[in-house]
Amino acid sequence: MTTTKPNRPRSMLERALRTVAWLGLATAMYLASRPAGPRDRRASVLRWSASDLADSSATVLTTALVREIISASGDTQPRRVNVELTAVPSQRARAMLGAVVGADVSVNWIDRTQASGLALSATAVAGPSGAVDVRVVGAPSSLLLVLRDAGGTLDSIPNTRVAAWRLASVSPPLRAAIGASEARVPTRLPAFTRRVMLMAQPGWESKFVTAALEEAGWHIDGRYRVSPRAAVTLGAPGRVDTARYAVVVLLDSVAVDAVAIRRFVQQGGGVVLGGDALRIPALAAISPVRVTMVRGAVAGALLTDTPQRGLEAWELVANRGAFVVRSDDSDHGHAEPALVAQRIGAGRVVASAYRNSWRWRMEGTDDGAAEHRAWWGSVLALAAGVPAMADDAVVDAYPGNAAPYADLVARVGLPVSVDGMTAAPAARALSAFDQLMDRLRAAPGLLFMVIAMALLGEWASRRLRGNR
Amino acid sequence: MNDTTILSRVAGVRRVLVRVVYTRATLLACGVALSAWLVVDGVRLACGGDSLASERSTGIVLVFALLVFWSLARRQTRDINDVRAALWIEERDTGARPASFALVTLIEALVGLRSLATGVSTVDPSARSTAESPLLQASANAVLVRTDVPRALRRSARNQLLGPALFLAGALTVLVVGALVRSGPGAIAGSVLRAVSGDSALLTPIPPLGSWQVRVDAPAYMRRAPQQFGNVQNASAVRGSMVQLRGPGPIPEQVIERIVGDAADTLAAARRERALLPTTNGDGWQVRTVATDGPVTIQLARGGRARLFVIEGRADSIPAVALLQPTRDSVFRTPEGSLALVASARDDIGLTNARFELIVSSGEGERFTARTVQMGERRFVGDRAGTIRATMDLAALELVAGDIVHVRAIARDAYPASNREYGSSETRSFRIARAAEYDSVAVEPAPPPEVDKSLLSQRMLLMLTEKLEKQRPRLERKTLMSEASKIGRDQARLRRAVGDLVFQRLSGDVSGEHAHTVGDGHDHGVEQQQGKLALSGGNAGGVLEEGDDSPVISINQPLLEAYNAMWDAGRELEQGEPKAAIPHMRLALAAIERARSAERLYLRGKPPTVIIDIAKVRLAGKDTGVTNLRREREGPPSREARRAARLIVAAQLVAGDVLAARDSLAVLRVEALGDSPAFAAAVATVLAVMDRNGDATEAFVGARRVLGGVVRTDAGAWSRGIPR
Amino acid sequence: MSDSTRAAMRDATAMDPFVFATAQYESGDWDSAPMLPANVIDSVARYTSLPVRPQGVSVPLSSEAVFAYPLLYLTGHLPVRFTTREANVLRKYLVRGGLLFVDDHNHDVDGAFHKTVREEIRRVAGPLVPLPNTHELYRSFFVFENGPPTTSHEMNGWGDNLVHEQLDAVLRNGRISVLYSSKDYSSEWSFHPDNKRFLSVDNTRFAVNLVVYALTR
Repeated sequence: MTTTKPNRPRSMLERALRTVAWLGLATAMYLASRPAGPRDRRASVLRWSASDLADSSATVLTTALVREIISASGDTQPRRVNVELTAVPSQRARAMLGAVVGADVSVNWIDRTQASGLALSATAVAGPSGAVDVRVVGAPSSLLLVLRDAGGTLDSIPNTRVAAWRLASVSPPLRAAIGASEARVPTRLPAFTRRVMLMAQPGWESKFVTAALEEAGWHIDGRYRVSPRAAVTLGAPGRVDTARYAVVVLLDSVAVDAVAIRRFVQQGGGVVLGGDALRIPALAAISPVRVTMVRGAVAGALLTDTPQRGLEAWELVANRGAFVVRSDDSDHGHAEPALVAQRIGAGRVVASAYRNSWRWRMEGTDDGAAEHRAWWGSVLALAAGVPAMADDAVVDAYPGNAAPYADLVARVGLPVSVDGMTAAPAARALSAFDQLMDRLRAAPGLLFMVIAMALLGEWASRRLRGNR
Repeated sequence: MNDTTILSRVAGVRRVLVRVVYTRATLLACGVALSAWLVVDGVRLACGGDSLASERSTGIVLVFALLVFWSLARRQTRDINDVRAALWIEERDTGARPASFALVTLIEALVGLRSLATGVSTVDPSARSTAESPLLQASANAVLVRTDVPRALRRSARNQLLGPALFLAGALTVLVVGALVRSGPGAIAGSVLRAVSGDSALLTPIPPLGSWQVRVDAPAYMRRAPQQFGNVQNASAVRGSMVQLRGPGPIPEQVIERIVGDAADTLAAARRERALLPTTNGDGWQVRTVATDGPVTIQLARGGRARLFVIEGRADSIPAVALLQPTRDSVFRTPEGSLALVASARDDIGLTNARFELIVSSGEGERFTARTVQMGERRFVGDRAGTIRATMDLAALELVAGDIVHVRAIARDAYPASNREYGSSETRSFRIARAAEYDSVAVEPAPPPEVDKSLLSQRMLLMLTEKLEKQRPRLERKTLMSEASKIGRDQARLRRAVGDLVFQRLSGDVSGEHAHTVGDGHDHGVEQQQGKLALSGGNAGGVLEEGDDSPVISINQPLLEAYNAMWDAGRELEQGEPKAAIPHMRLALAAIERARSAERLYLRGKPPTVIIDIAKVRLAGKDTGVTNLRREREGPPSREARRAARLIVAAQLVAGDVLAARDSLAVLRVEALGDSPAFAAAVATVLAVMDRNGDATEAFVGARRVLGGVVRTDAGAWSRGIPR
Repeated sequence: MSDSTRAAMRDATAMDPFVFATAQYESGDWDSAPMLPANVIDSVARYTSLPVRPQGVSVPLSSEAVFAYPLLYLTGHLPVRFTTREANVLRKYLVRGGLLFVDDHNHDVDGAFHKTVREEIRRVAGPLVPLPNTHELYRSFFVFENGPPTTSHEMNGWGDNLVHEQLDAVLRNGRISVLYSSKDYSSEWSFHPDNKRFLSVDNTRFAVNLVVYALTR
C-alpha cells in the first residue's frame, strides 16, 4: 500500500480537527468537575390549593412540579417554585416537597392553611394492658382540642396547650385536631419485656404488691428470705440486666447488689424504690429523693376519694433534676411528694413514698384492689423503658403526621410572606466565561457532537488521502 | 346356503343394528332430559325457589326424553335396510381385500326381486339373473362364512352404547346423590351437591334463612304455659327450658350452639360449642336446645347466609328469706315462756315450702351436743311470696342452763334437684343463762369507783422514803422525824384505803377497819390483831375449801399482806426509821402488784394473754424449712379493651354488612350481661337503633363511653402520664 | 437531723410485723382455743425470721378491722351462723385477698360447728373442695409429704373417730381463700408454748406453713 504525502492545508485541517476534539474533551472534563455556579431565580409560582390531606394530592403536586421542570429544561436559568398552600399537605406530599428542596430547587410557600403547630405523641404503657399514654401539644386557641380514633371521638377539651390522656385501647389511627390542624399517629404497640425483679422481705406489702403486679400482667422474679436457710422463690430470678428485666422493684430495706442495680439503670432499666427501700444507703446515689421522716396515715382516709392519704409514707425531698410526678395534699397546706422520678443514664428511677400500700387494697373501698393494682401498674409504667411506637409509613428524622405543620416546616422551611414572594430577586452579573460554561453545561450533548464531528472529519481526511 | 338363508341372515343383522340405534337413542334421550332437569332445578334453587315438584318434573322429563328419542331414532334408523346391512357385513369381511361386494350385489338383487314380487316397484330384469348367479352366491356365502357376524355386532353395540350409557349413569348419579344430600343433615349439603354436580348453576343451591318462630317451654316444675315469639333475635329462658326454633324451607346446613362467657354450670362448660341437628317439620325445619344458666348463641347457616339467635339463660334463684321476729338475740334467765316467730319468703319462680329451723346446742368445755328442731312448716303451691309464723315454747324445748338456741327460717322452691340449695334467713340465738354467769351481771356495766386522788401511791411513798434515807446523814434528827412522820401519815392513809378494799370485798362495808373488830360476832374470814389483819379460823392458809362461802379470800391475800406490810412500814416511819421501813414498803408494793394481776377478770371475748418473748425464741427451733417455689398468680381478664375493640369493629361493619354487625353486637351484649350490665344496656340501645334503621353513631359512642378507658392524665414534664 | 426525726426514722425502719388474728363472731364460742395464737406466734418466731408481733389480736368479724389482718383464724364448738354484717364483711375480706383458716374444734363431722360453718362458708365464699395433699401449702416451709399432719385428737378417737386425710378449701384465683380443717388443730395447738420442750416433734410446725403461705402467696 502506498501512502500519499499530505499537502499542507489538509495536514493543517487534520491537526485543527484533532485539536478541537482535544479541547472539547478538556472542556467536558472541566465542566464535570466545575462546582455549580450561583443561580439566578427563575420563579415559577405555583398556586397549590389542595384542600384535603389525601395522598393523591402528592401525585398532583409531583405532576405539576415535574411539568415545571420539563418546561424549564434547556433553560440555563435555575428554578424557584412558589407554592401557596391552603391546607397542610399529606405526608407524602410533604416528603415530595422536601425532596424537591433537596434537589436544589428552592421552594417558597405561603401559609394560607390556617393551621397551627400541633404535635401528638402516643407511648405504649409498659405492661400488658395495651393502654396508651397520649399527649398533645398545640398552640393555645379558642377552639376545642378533639381526640378521636377509628371508633369515633374519645374526648374533647378546651385547648390548654398541653393535654394528656391514658387510653385503655385505641383503634388506630389516633388523631388530635384543633380547628384545621390535625395530627395523627398509627399507635402500633411495640413488643417489650414484662419481667420484673422484686427485692423485698416476705410480708403483706410484698405479697400484695406482687399480686397487684401479676394481676396487671407482669411476671415477677424474686426471692423471699423466710429464714436463714429457707426462701420462697418467685419465678426464675436471674442476673439483673436490661435484656431480662424491664424494672427492678425494691420494697423493703434489703441487702442489694448496688453496683448491679446502678449498672442496670445506666443501661436503660427502670428501678422502683418503694417504702423502706428509699433508705437503702447503697442506693442513695441513684435515688431521686432524700427521705426525712415518716408521715402518718390519716385515719379513715382509705375510705375516701383520696385513699393515698390513709397510707403511712416517707416524707420526700426531691433531688435536683428529679421530677415530682404525684403529690398528696397535706394538712400543712403544702403538697407532699408521693411519686418522684428521675432519669439516670439511659434508665429511670422512681421513688414511691408509701410504706404499706397493701392496706389500700385490703382496708380501702371495694375498688381498692383495682386502684392498688392500677397504682402499681402506673408506677412501673413510669419506670419501664418502652420502645417508641412504630410508624409503618415513613421512617425518617422528621416528625411526620404526629406534627404535620412542624414536619412541613422542617422539610420545606418557614413560610414566606406574600411580599417576600413577589419581591424581585437580586440580579447578579455573570462573566462571559461563566455564561459560556453555563450554556455548555446546559447542553452537554453539544460538546459530544463537536468532539465526534472533529474526530470523524480527521479520520475521513486521512482515509481520503489513503492513510489509515 | 341358498338365497333365502342369505337374505334372512342379512335381515337379522339389520334388525340387530336397528335395535342398537334405538337403544342408543333411548339412553341419550334419558341422559339429556335428566341433565336438563338437574340444571333447571338447580337454577330454581339458586334463585330461592323450591325444588321442582316430583310429578310435574317427571312429566317434563318424559316429554323431553320422547322428543330427543324421536329425533334421534327417526333420523338414524331411516337409512338402515338389508343392503346397508350387507354392506356393513362386507366392511367387516377381513378375508377379502379389497372387498368383493358380492354379498351387497346379491342382496341388492334379492331385495329388488322381493320388491317386484310384492309389486312395490319394477326391477331391472337383469337382477334376476344376477341373483341366480352361482358364482355370486358362492362369493356371498364366502363373505358370510368368513365374517364373524355376532362378534362384529357385539363390538358395534359396545361402541355405540357405551358413551350414552355412561352419560345417563352420570346424570342419574348426580340426581341420586343430590337427593340424598338434600334429605340428610344439611351441613355438607351444598358443598357435596356442588362438588358432585360440578354445575355452576348450583353454586348457591339452598335458599338463605328467612324468618323463624321461637317457642320457649319452661321446665315442668314451673307450671308455665309455653311462650311463643315471632322472628325475634333473642329470648330469655330459665335454666332447663326447652327452646325451639322453627322455620320454613329446607333444613339449615349448619346449626352451632355456643356458650357465651363464663356459664356457671359444668354441663354448659362441657358443651362450649357443639353442632345441633335440625329436623324436618312439615315443609320446614326445627331446632331444639335446652337453656342453661348463662347466655347461649345458636348460629344457623343456610344458602351461604348465617343468622344468630341468642338465648339469655338465667338460673332459678333460691328463695330469699327474712326473719321478721324476733328482731334480736336474747339471754333468758330461765327456760320458760314463748317467743313468736315470723318470717317472710320470696322466690322468682315459686315457693314449695318454708319452715323454722332451731338448733339447740348444749354442753360446755370440749363436750357439746346439738339437736335440730323444726316448726311452723307451711306448704306453698307456686306462690312467689309467703309468710310463716310459729310460736317457740321454751319449756317444750326442754332447755337447761347454758343451752343456746339458734333460730332461722328456711324456704325451698320447686327446682327438682336432690342437692338443691334452700334459702335461709339470718340466725337469731337465745341463750339460757348459767347460774354463775347470771351472778356476774353486777360487774358488767358498773363504772369504776371514785379514786381518792389525794392518796400517794405505794411506789411514790417508797421513792420518798428512799430519798429521805439518802438524805438522812445530812439531816438533823428533828427534821428527819418530821419528814418521816409525814410519809408515815401518807402510808397510814394508803393502808386504810387498802383496808377498806379488803373489808368491802368481804363484807360490803366501807371503813371496815374500824367497824369490824375481833369478837364482834361476825366471821368475816379475817380479824384484826394488834393493828394488823390476820386470816381467821380455817382460812389460815388463805386457800379456799370447796363450799366455802368466802369466795374472795384467796384473791385478797396479797392485799392482806400489803396491808400488814404497810402497817409495819408506818410504824417504822413513825419512829423515824426510814431505812427499816423500806423493806416493808417494798413488800407492800410487791403484794399490791400481785393483787392487781390476781384480780384480772377474764370476761368472754378476752382470752388469757400469753406474750411470747420473740427475741428469746427467735430461730430456737431445731427444724429448718426448705426453699420452695411460689406459683405465679393469674391476672383477671381485661375485658374492657377487648370489648372496645370489638365494638369498633362492629361499628365499622355496619356500613358493609348490617346483619353481621348486628350479630356481633348481640354476642357482645350477652357476654356483658353478667359482669357489665351498663355496657350490655348500652349495646342494647345500639341494637334498638339499628332495628329502627336509625343512625346508630351516637349510640355507639355512648356504648364506648360506658366502657370508660379514656382517662385524662397530668401532662407534666415527665414523659409518661399517671391517671388522676 | 433532729433527735425527734432520728427517733421517727428508727421507729419506722421496723417492718410491719405479722399479727395473728382470731375472728370473733356473734354466734358460738369463738374463743374456745385461747392458747393457740400464742403457740402459733411462738412457732413462727422459733422457725422463721419473719417479723411477728408477740401477741395476737381478736377481731370482730362484723368489723372492718378484719381487713387489717389478711390471715384470720376461726374456730369453735357451737353452731356458727354469720350475721348479715359478718357475712358481708367476710365476703369482702375474701375478695380482697384475705385467707380465712377455719378449724372444727369439735373434730366431728356430725357436729353442729362442722355442719353450720360449712354451710355458712358455702353461702359466703362458695363450696369447699378437697385440697390435694400435693398442694404448695404442704411445702411452703416444712415439707408434709402426706398432706396435713395428723392430730392426737384424731388418733385418740375423739369426735367423729376419723382420721381426715385432707383439708378442704375454697380457692380463688389459684390461691387458698378459705382453708377448712376437721382435724381439730385448735385442741392440738392450744397449749402453752413453753411446753414445747416436752415434745419430740413440734406439732405446730404446720401452722408455720400456713403463715408462710399466707404471707408469700
